Amino acid sequence: MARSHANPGHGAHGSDTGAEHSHGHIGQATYYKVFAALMVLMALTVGAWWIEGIIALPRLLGVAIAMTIAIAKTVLIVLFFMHVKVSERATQLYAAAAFLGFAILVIITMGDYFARGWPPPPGPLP
Amino acid sequence: MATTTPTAKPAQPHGHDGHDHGVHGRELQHHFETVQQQKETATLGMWAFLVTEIMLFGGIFMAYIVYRWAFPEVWAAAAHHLNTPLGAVNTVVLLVSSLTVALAVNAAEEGKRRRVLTMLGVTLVLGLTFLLIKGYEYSEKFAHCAGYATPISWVTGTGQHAVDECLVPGRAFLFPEAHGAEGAAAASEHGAPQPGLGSPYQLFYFLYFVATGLHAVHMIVGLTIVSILTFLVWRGMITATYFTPIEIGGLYWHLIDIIWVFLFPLFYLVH
Amino acid sequence: MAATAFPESGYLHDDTPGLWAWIKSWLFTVDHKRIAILYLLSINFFFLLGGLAATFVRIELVTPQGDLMSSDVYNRMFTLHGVIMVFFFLIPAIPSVLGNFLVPLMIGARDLAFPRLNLFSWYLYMFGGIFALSAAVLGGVDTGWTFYTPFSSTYSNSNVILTITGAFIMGFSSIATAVNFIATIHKMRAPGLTWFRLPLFIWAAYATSLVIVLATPVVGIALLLVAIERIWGVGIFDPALGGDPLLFQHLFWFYSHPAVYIMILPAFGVISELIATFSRKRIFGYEFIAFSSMAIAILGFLVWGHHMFVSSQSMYASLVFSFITMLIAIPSAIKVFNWTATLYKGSISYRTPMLYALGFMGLFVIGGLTGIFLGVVAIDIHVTDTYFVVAHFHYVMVGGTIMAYLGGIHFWWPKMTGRMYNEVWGGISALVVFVGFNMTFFPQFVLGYLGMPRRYHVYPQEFQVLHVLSSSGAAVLAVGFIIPLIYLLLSLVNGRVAGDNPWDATGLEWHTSSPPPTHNFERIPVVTTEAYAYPPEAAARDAAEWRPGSPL
Repeated sequence: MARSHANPGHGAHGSDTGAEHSHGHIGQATYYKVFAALMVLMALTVGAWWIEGIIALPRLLGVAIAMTIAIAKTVLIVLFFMHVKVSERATQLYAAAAFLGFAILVIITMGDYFARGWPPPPGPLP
Repeated sequence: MATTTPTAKPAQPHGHDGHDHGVHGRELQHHFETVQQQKETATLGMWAFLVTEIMLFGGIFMAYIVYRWAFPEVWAAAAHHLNTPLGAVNTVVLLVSSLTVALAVNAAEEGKRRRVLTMLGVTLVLGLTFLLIKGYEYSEKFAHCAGYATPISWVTGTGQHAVDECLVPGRAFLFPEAHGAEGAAAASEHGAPQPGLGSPYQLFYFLYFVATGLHAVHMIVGLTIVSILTFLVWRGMITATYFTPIEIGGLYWHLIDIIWVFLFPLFYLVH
Repeated sequence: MAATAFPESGYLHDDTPGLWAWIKSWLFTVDHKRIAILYLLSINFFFLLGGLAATFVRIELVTPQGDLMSSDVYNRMFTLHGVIMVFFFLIPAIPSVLGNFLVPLMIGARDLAFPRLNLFSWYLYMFGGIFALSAAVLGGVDTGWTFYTPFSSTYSNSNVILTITGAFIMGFSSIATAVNFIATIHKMRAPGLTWFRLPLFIWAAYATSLVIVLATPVVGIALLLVAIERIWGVGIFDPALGGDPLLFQHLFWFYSHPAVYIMILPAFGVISELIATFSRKRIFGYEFIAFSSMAIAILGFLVWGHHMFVSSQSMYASLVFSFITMLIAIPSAIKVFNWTATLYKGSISYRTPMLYALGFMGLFVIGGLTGIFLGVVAIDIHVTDTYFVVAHFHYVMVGGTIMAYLGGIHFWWPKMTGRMYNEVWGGISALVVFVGFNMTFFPQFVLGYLGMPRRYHVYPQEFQVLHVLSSSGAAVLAVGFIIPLIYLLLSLVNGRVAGDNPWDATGLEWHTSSPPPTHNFERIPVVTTEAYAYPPEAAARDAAEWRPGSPL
């Protein structure tokens, strides 16, 4: 991380025209393709739900399918619609950090619940 | 000690002598050197803020995960009573709105003012549609609590019947399960909870109303932001060199969409 | 370091005609230095209020009977003390006062990345403060600053929602500051100022901001859910519905443990600056201190369950949390060792900021070690919810954060105001604080170990001696906190003019006038050297050349 990220100082004025400098660019065609993919994923998740209503699948599998599709949609939106694919490294790190923070919260807390024997079995009183 | 070299560029606290006004206009704030730096800084700042939004909803999702893991049958039975077709329509509405926002940013970058206005306008319409559909869904629930089959019959006051289902958590909560297990059809008590009473289906519906309600609050904020952006574009304050507000406003909108992308399967697609 | 004349203009002056224009120039400022001063005033106000609550608590504890206040009033008093001190003093103090003032100066920028957001963060702080004050005026809240459910969500009859609203809003103020620091430190460093040339205060501010951004929203949602449960009458923490009160504790402590690192990391940053300047030496192990700040920030998210060892948390989780709690001592210890190594063969000068820094090192070690004791599950089960815990966290929060805060205020006082404070009184009050602090809180370790529970206002007769000792110490400590108010304010009128660099310190903030101009620097500096670039023989030479009247 010793790369200098200092302000472009002397003489850098006038060299920026507003285009993403050296970071690449996402074109309109890509947006439409991503949207098409999102619609396909949408159809898949509703279809999977509908099938689950007919065929008895293990609950865990149903959740896994739905979450995989949701994560795929999110990855597409984050990378393309939110330009993270062409953003600078710091922005990408923060995008990742958010989901990592959430993952820590869930994994450790659920670890406690798994190990705790909760909810407790109901007692003898009504 | 850090040294200052004689060739350090003298900074101008006021005024713009020595650089070309054609490159940037008034939008460059004086503590930045270039428009590019300002834009990248704003983007990083907005992402740091989005981290907080993700963690905020993360807390609700944490609660959801705990209770769904603990009470899977309750979850499946409860989710059955949500209006999945409307939820699916809302999801598509938001996904389309994400596309229009992305296209708006793209158009701003290319300096196409009219296209930006069109895309932002469509986004506004889609966002309002989402809220209206959501409002209708909520009113369905409230109508059932009042003994009406649909919100329309509630408004017109026709066809009231005995309440057989009330899915709004609270005193009147009534989950229409005929199994009679552990107080499944009992109302909750406020202030003096007694063991055995209290319907666990309320956990689902509490989380449903809080999560979608908090999401709706963010939608309203998002729509306000889009309106402000529309105003800025209409007044000509957005150019091909300065479209940062559109970019970072768009980031916020996409986050609202991502949250719904998770809310939809978690609440509406449960078996 | 030449004693220059007081600068003709600085950020404190302006040419506004009339009182109303002057007020507006402060209330609508976007200058980070003025906002820091606004924070300084408001944070000190809340500190005094929290201190007043503590005074009443300590007076009550002089006698074993509950004679000054009923148990209900006592509950509200210690809750007020906790809520105000945690949310309205410790969390914002160093970042919002010293951080706001110094971050742009230290990196050679003209302001923070988002100056208006900075002003907004101060208004959010005041707005949240108004809610907390209203709650206090209307009778306070009796849940403890930890708001445990189901008491807070169902059974308490006090102003829970008002207080929660205040804390919630303050959280957003904190987040706004953190977002500003992150963007500023990444994007607005002066030419040549690479990450590893940054002062360690900046590394600390950055690590703190990372923690704030990840942790604060979780307590926000936890408190929001409690407030909704109170309003709606239904909630997810209610066991009658199948809810789990422990879920609240998980969500609450997920923030509140990293919160203590929000409090101490900036303090570490201040101490690094003070140790380097007042030993005239480069910080030993710069990269280790920088990385340890990041390590503490990250590891701090993995230990929250050590607040929940007796809460019916699973033994498996408790052991994991305990183990990681041991680990997190390592980066803190690395810092202490590196500071000690910096002091070695340094030319040490015992000015007021250094007295606070040396006090910090001793008191933080005690506080940190007792934290390790508490991290051992078996010991914690014995001393949890006793005064042992109270003593531990006061050692790190008061002996740690507040000492660093006071040291930093004194160190940068000449930069902020252009005046030197009275060194004699500075030294006296530092010693009074140190003595008073230890007198107050060391007996509490003994009390807790012997079984005195926390949050109790009646206790067995055998504990009275220790309580009287502690309360007397509190009186001394209070005096130690009041004296600086007096001489710092007086220095504004008759303090010696400081000049650009009265301490002959390194750091870009010392390369501009005291007080700095509104735009911070006449020319943005270009950085070509490491941080703390004292030449190797600086300490020896300084010691040899020292005469009475030398700068240090």
